[in-house]
Amino acid sequence: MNMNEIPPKSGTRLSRIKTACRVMRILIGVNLVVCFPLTFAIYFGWLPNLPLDAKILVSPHQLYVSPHEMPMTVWALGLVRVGLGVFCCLALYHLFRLYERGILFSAKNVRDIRFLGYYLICDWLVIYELESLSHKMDLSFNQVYIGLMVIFVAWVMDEGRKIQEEQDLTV
Amino acid sequence: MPIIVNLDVVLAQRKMRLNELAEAVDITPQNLSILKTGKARAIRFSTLEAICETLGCQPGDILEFRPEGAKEKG
Repeated sequence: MNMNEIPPKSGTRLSRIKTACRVMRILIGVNLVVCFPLTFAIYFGWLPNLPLDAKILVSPHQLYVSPHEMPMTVWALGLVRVGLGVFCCLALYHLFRLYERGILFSAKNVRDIRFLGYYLICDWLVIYELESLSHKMDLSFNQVYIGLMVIFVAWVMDEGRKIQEEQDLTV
Repeated sequence: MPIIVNLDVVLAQRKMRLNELAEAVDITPQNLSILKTGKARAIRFSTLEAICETLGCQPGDILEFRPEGAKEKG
């Protein structure tokens, strides 16, 4: 069979991937459009009162009723976490859009996955800083390990992509 | 890459079109186009053999080694 032809079963699988990724992309898009602006509004105190008994969880030991009672450092670091979350969601949105277009193994996919790994590590560093401010440090290194593993998997995927590209360009 | 593919030159000399060659050597025109445009990373001996047989030429007529930075032949 020619390498350019997509066998019928693969076509069905690809359409399933595309459908699932479209749903995921829409969910992440809603998160980006609704949840993050709401979080920023809470952080900047644009929402006068949080609904019900809701509290702002900046890190496991940093819990606040309103942004006004947060120390400046905690507020800034909390904002950094939200910002990192936005970038993470943008990377995921971009990744799922690539999958939706049928691009499964490209340099862009690798870049997005690698970014997720960096996000996990950076987020952990911010949490570490926040926890050190609260003097109640009981953080695990799991997030860092997972971040490193994601970066490693992205590297393997990139090498695999290069091998695949070389095979595709062998006449 | 210092390996230059002169398939277009040989095809022009033989007054043959890419599609005709593709049909003769049983390779898709897309793959042959990859070879012609110099995007190919590798070529199988079987492909090279089929192309040389069809065009009546030597592998050296199709492939040329030109060191990086060397000027093109006049």
